[in-house]
Amino acid sequence: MSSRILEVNDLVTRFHTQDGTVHAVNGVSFYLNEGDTLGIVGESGCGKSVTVLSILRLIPEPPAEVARGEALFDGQDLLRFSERELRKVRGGKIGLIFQDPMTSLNPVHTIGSQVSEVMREHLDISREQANRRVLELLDTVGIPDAAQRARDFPHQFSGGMRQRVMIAIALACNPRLLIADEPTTALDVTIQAQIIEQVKSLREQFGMTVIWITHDLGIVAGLANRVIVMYAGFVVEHAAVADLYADPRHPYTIGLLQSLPNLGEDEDERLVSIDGRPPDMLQEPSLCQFLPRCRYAIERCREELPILREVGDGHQVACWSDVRFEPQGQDL
Amino acid sequence: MLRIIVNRLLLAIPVLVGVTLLVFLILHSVPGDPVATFYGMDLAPGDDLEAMRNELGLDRPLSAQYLDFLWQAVQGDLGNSIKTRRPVLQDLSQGVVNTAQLAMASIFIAIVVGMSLGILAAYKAYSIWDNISLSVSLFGISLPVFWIGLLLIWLMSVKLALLPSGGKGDWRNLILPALTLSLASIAVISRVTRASLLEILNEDYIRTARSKGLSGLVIMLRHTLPNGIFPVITVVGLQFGYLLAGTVLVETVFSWPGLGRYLVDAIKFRDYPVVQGGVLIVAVVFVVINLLVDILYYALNPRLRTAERG
Ligand SMILES: Nc1ncnc2c1ncn2[C@@H]1O[C@H](COP(=O)(O)OP(=O)(O)O)[C@@H](O)[C@H]1O
Ligand SMILES: [Mg+2]
Repeated sequence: MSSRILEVNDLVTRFHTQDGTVHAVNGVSFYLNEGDTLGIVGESGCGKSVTVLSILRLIPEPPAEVARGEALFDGQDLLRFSERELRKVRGGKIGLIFQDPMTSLNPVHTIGSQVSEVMREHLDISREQANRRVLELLDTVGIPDAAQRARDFPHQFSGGMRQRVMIAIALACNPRLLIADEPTTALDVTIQAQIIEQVKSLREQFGMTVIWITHDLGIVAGLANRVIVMYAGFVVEHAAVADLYADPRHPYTIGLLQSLPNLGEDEDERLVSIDGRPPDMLQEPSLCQFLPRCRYAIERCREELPILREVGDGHQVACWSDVRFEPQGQDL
Repeated sequence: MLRIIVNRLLLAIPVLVGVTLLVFLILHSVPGDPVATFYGMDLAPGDDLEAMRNELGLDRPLSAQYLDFLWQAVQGDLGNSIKTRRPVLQDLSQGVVNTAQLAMASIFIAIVVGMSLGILAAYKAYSIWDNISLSVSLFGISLPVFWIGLLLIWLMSVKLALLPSGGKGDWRNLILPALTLSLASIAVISRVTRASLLEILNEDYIRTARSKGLSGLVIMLRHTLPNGIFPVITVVGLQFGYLLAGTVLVETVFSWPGLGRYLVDAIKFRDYPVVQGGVLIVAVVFVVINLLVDILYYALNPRLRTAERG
């Protein structure tokens, strides 16, 4: 039995804006055991980033408000931590990589100093030791000519190389958990594959637990062992990765899977797309948020909010309707 | 780097010519001339105003007078004062030194206090500290210089007898005029600093810095300030110009023997060479300050620096 690293329960985060309250995260729960790679999947704006950023209090408060929930990291609730305690966790025990490598590094500092900085903050090491370890790290994440490149500035790096630098920063203090928030979304396809391979090999090497956020179910298949699917601030389905692909139980997940291009087919030619648009999240949700777009809705869907229920071993879905997905092959 | 400097200096030439020409034309279109204003006071019968004008070269065509002035100025000679008959450079040198002292002290105060207030306001945005900083700025920007000057004299010199009310002596004489002169700039610099820092705080790399577990202060000083400094540098350069203009008033209120006061006197007496020389000096200082601003920009921005290397 592997041990629990992170357990998030009933997380609620809202943004108080001029247009009203944005209900970005509405009672999200998930967990990670040692060695897990959890995929968080959902279309843009569904609250994936806000979920993980809330845990570490990296969202701007105000306008954000982490209204409810707990985030047990090694048994301690991060949401009750003081800023000082949280700082020890950020970059020390939990490393983060973000979506846009072009803007995630500070333009006025050298790459080397941006990597060594995080070690000087968390590890008790001298400047020289830190500098030496910077070179090791840059080498480890696949940046050639590290000694030379450590003295360069971000604008002298390509997007892919900058993301490798971000990975080096995230891994510098040997974190127990790596949170990768769409780290390849902004990169082109070949670079994307390289970065994914890099993270996979580092995961083995460092024995890390990983949260990998993406809007692309295709990426998650080869990377994660479990997946949560999010829609409009809710977890709508949670399953082992194989179960999710073989037996998706939420209409939204089914829609996502249907819209994946088959192998060998043209990337741009999405087969089916889900009709309609996601809600604007300005109303406090009282019914399933997917209802207006759902082809499988039943009477009960118009009466009460679905809760996550067990439909198989470690497989949960938040849907009243008992949908099964029959792969339809050619006639799609 | 060198290219930038040369470039700037070449650009400065039309600026300096333009400024001196403008001042020259304004001076000569104002009624009255030096001969009328102070030779005119104690004219002996038989004295010939025209002869005096002729002696001073004032009867020649304006274009010839201006070109003469330019030609001599290029050679480092600003001519002689009509009033004192001494070389203008010699007459103005003490004033230049005094004004430089006043302006330097003021811009120093403005930068230190203004940036500190701006950083504080951004660091504690939307808090009571932010409001305090805003109040100081509003105060500094909305009150006229001469009024603040008089108020400070009344408070610090008359009531509390802490500081001298004017004149030139040791460093204590400098405090009140420098402070008075710096108030408006403090306001502007603090506002620009705050706005610029708040904008930078929204950048992705600030989130990265926070995700490294750095303290708020380190994030502000090491990650935010170096990126947000550029608009501040620009505005400091501009403020230096306003500040030089403001010296005229402040020097009058505090009887500070600076260039501004000499110039006001010289204008009253239509002492053409002194006015033109003084304005030229101020313009040159302005150009140099702008050049320094550009160099600073260049030195602080790795994108520009490395572009030259590679
Ligand atoms: N600073 C903010 N102010 C207001 N709303 C925000 C802010 N940041 C995010 N949101 C809202 O929260 C919701 C979730 O955003 P996010 O978690 O970034 O989505 P994603 O799943 O693409 O990562 C979105 O509807 C977004 O509009
Ligand atoms: Mg996101």
